[in-house]
Amino acid sequence: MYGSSTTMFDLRTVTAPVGAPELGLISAAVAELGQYYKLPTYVAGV
Amino acid sequence: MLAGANLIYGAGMLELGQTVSLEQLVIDNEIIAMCKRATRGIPVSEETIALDVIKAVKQTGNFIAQRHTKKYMGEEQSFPLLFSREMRGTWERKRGKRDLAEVAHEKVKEILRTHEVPPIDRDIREEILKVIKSFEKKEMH
Repeated sequence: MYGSSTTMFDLRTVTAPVGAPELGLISAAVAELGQYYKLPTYVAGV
Repeated sequence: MLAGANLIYGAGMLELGQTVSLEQLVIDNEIIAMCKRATRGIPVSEETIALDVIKAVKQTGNFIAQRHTKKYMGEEQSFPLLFSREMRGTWERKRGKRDLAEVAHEKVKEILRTHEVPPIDRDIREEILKVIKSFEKKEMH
């Protein structure tokens, strides 16, 4: 199993918001890596 | 959006468009900004990849203190106008526990109070009037 639950870090609020568009961008990249490795892949989000 | 539609309508609409809400409009504007940020993607170049910075920081250092991080943070990171990114405690203390509807209502009031519609350029205006006049002439005959 491959995957990652990653989002951006907002330095203004000092939080890691999972509702940010960056979560989608990063998860898309993680999914592509998973496909490349031919592994079942999980990402965060809805 | 990703399939290439030129216009996706519906901003501000409630009840299948039977109701239009200015508050919903500014909330939708926020969501649209997020979608646009996600579809814009990330510029990938030697400069933005910053391999030399990664090498210098390795696993033990911190990226936040890097000049490269500071430089690209402002232009690359998304930043919502209405949505709160604080944790609950901070939201309660600093944002007065205001929910999204209240924040949106404040934004609407501010826009209505301060926004000025930019006037149409004189030459464009004259061109539009010409088109209308020529159409009216045709209609009369």
